[in-house]
Amino acid sequence: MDIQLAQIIFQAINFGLVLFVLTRFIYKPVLKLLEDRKKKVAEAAKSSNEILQEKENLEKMKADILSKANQNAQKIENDTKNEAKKSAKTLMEKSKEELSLKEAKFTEELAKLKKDKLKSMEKELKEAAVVIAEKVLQESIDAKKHQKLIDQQIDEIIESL
Amino acid sequence: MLQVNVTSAIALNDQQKKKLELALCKKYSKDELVFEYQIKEELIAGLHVSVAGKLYDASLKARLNQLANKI
Repeated sequence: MDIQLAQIIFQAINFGLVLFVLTRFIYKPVLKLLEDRKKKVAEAAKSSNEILQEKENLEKMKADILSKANQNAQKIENDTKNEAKKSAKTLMEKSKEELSLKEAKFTEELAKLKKDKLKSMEKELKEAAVVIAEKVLQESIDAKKHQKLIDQQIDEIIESL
Repeated sequence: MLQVNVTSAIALNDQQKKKLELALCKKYSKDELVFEYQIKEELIAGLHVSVAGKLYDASLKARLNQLANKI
């Protein structure tokens, strides 16, 4: 088998041409496609990471907001409880004060009532004593004693003139 | 004219009236006095005399009332 130079050159040119065509129209576009895909994957990964980060941030924010909301709710609850306690205490003190005043007034009125009743009873007793004394005297004084008493009283009146 | 009201539990006898009138006539002018006698059993005993706006109350009723007021 003879090796022909022309044949070799032809084959070399042919190989070169095929290499050129392959490189130009297949290898480079595929490489570019792979590069683009790699970039897209990287971008997607980056986006995904960003989204994950954002999600994490949002969850953290949510947790913060929830925590603050809980704190606020707790504070409001405590404030409300304190306010209610304060109001109840004030109301209790006011009621106590009013009760004390009413009690004092009632005691005073009772004492006055007692005093008035005693006075009234005293008056009735005096009147009854006078009526009894009048009856006793009317029954025990006869005409002679009447005249003697009148004589004495005339003397008293004359002395006082 | 001065009116003298003499109120007693029983009627005064003449002697008592005379004694009282004489004493009052000495105190006041005789011509001015007019005596009027009344009987009120509610006085119990004794008498009271009112003259020239003055009251001389010596009745037992008055004394009992004074006593009741002092108690």
